Amino acid sequence: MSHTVLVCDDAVFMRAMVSDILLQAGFEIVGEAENGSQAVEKYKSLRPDLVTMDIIMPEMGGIEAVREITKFDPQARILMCSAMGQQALVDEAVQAGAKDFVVKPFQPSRVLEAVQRVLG
Amino acid sequence: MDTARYTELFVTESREKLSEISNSLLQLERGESSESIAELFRAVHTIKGMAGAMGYSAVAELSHEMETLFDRLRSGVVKPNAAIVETLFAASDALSEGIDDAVNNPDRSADIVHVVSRLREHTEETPKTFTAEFTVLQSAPQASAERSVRHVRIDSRRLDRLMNLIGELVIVRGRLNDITARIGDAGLEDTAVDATKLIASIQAEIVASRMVPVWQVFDRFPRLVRDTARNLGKQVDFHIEGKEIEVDRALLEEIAEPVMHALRNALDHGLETAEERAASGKSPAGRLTLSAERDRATVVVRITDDGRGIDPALVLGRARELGLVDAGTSSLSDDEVIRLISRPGFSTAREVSEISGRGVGIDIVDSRVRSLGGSLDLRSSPGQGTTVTMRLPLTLAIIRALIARLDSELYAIPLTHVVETFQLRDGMMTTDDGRHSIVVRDESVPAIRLRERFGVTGSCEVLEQVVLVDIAERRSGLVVDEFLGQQEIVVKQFDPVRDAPQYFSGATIMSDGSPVLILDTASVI
Repeated sequence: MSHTVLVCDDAVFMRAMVSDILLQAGFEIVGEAENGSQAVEKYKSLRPDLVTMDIIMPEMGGIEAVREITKFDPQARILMCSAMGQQALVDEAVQAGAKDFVVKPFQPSRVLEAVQRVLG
Repeated sequence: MDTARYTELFVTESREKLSEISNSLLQLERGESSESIAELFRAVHTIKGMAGAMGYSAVAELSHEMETLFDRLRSGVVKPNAAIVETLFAASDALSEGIDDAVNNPDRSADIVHVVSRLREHTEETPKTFTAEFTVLQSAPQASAERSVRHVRIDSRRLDRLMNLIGELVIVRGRLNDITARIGDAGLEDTAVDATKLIASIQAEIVASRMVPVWQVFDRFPRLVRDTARNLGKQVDFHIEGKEIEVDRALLEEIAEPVMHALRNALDHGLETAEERAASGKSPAGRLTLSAERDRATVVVRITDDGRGIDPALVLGRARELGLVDAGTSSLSDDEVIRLISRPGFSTAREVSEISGRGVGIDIVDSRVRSLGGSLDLRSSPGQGTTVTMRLPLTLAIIRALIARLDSELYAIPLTHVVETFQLRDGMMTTDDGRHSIVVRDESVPAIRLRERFGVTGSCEVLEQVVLVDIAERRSGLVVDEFLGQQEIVVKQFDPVRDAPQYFSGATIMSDGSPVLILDTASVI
């Protein structure tokens, strides 16, 4: 059975890109969220195997969402998607419970490697 | 990676972000800082991410520089001031151009060096040792969140194709109904009725799916108004009402230009300078309102200013100079004023300014609006202001029309302006000096025999019919031979015959395959 993924990013463009990369690798995209609070809500209802999480989002940012999700499910597997120069934020996200990160612009191979590490 | 198919997504989303940036910068300029800076940061951050993925390095670099400055502003290390806001406006213009270039002229590398160095000057007002505390943005629910409904993005060309197909289907439906009527089979009739209902529902759904809220275009205007007012040295308080009103996407793109002209006209000719306003007891900043409102199957767009209004004496003087009125004319009715200032090349501006006053004001707006099947009205009271009203159909592709016959030819009269129809009985019409008029409920309205207007020879052998139309609150009667009913027609654009009077706005195909011209009611009157 293929792994289920929840893709969180405020940009449709980025969600499309991440989804395409994962779909082509055989994952099942079960949901998309455009801000942190949607991500938390959808995580609770969809219980995906993996979450890809943008950091800068309106309403609730990605790090806050990671905290909320891991509070609900300490086993949650979350992959942060960060822009270059956000190392401090990535560290914070990892402390909050994120398992790994990829840096934009995405290279499909890098994304898939990171996903495998998180799921591994 | 094959990025070509992401281009469209990139363009759509970055335009939305640019629009948010423009609005937030205006808020920042008004001193509503904290929330707008957070939004600005997120918007350029999103553009940066997308541009990076697309390999648009100039766009990515510029948005990175803007993001850095927004970060400094957000953390309070740099305080917003007029110079910074000005630089940010310039940067957002450069960003917009850079995005266009990246997508459309990939060979041209956008020149961002200058604007980047201006951004850096502001950014580096920070002590170099400073490390910004990078906190996650949290903000109250914002305007853009209210707008976000669950959407699926569809290539707009696909919707256009669907619309074309449904147009063809409407024609086929007509043919089906004709054949059904001829055959007279009950089962076939029921089926044809069902098919007709279903086609109507599909059509309504497709029309609805093409509807977009007017803010998608109106959001460009606050910036335009600000810049124009600045160039003119005027103060303006600009409001937009009815942002959420939805119209056909194709129509919305078409009305952007006439609305822009009308706004410029209002700023240039309508609103006075702060000193002039103070002298006449008004607030220093002029009030300019752009509103959209739904009225049955039309959308009404109004541009209202509280400026000096149109001086009939000035219009009369200019009309005399141009020989448009008799030398003896001493006053003009409101309608005459409107008709005069809508004439191509008519301008009372004492000098040509960069903004308007080249005589390309109201006449351009008028002809654009008319070509879209709408009508323009202008009301003004001297000293109090002017209101320009555009009434437009909600969609351009399919309209309801009255099919009328003149001799053996059929014509379609769009229902947008039709008030009522009635039979022309003996004695209803009077003719004076070749001009006809009809009395309708104690009101005398001018009447136009379309046979005469279109040069159809012979006379009508049955009792004629009158279509009462209302254009810009002026009523007129159009006299035709006969009506063949109302129907939905699919508008096809056509190239008008050269040098012929432009009485038609397009053509349509009837269910039997024959072409029918669509009357441009305003130009006939």
